[in-house]
Amino acid sequence: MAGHKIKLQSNDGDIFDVEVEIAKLSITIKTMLEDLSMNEEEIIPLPNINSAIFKKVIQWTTHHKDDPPLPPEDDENREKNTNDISSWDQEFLKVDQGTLFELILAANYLDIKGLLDVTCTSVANMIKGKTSEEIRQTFNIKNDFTPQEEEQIKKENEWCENK
Amino acid sequence: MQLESLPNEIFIEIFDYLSLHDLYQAFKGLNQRINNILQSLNNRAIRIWSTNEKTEIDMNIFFSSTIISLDIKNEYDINLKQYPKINSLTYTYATENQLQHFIQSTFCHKHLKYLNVTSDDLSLLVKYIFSHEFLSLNQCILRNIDSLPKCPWRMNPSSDSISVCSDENFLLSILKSCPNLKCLSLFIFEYSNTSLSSVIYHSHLKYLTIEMTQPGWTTQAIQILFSSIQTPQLISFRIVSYQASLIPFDFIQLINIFNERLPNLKRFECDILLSRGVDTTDLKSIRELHSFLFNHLKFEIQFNGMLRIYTSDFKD
Repeated sequence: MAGHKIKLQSNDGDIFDVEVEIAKLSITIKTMLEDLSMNEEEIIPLPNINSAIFKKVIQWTTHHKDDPPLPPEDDENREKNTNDISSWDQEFLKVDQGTLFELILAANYLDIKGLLDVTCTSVANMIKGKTSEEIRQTFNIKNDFTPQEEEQIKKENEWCENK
Repeated sequence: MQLESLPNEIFIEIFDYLSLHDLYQAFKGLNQRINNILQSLNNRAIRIWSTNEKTEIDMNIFFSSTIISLDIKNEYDINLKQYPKINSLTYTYATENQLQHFIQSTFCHKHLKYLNVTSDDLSLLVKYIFSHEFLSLNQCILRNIDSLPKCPWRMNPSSDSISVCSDENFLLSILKSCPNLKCLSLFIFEYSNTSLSSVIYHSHLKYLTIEMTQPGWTTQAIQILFSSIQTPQLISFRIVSYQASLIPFDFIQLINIFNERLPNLKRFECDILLSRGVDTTDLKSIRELHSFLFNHLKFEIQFNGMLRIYTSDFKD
């Protein structure tokens, strides 16, 4: 029913009135509403999402509420296309790295495939074409190899060279 | 929050958008946890060609345990044992060494779903490969480039029949050893005129293509083919020949064969030639023989007077 709203609560206590049709873009929320028969007055807690991120999620789902359903995944070909981010989404994703990663986690928790796809694509585009040293700097990735493992990698590389 | 805070499942989601080359360049030797994630990726395909580039060789080895689809582009002698998960294998142009190695790599035979081999000489494959069991194979494409003297299929040029040599029942062997095969394409040079010694029943084959250099296809040849193999689930049958036939192509006999032998046939495709002056039924009458099988059939008179009968404009 258009305009019908439910209450969703972020983990920092804010309560959001969200149209049911928009909220149901989240498979997690849709399942809660349908399988758990929650009534409209009940507040649905979202323990994994803070209000700043949830506002972004609502902004994205509101813009994409009339999108056609995504095609099923092709299990035979895992590599996906990174070129198809709309200009609206590109603008939407102009956020700092931390926010982007939190959006990915929120999309994953709420099971919003379109948002997960576009946020993962965005990170993939940040990775594409970079060397490992650039990746280490861009994402501040720590070297967690033990000295023994580093030695092993060196040996494997030597083996490859001599093969 | 940082990239490293994300759980492994999210890394895998992100990595699905990147090629193995990009992933290797970006993450090689960076972090043990990410290394482990990269080596646990599933359903990845890779094209491999002979190279002296260390990075390329390292990458192939690094990802070998994740690869399910391997496309070997040249004479590169890779060890298939490095790819324990492969179910799809293409040799763009297989050497004798590569074929021998594949034949010996029996560990991967029963998992293969797709096999596509082009080679100068398929006699090795014919001799060994289909004596093994390819239980999962559902698509097989064999292109035999230049092995006339060694090809097990023989054709007496004066004969209208199609069959295989009694000692090398190639088609029979393939169907026997691949009980789940759905699609079979054969590219061959000549047919034998010897009838098959036994009849093979295959309940899964849906798509059959036989492309041959000589002689031209005839309905008598098709009659003998489907007397030797029973493929009741066949939905698509395609024939191609490159030599013009002196014998009329009898579409009335063809439709009788289809009615009798191929109850589920939905598509007939052809590209055949008739020599100048060979009688043929007009196109309109042929189309009227069946409600849909011949709708896409076309005639084209060639510059030398030959008639090309072919199908086009199919939509899947």
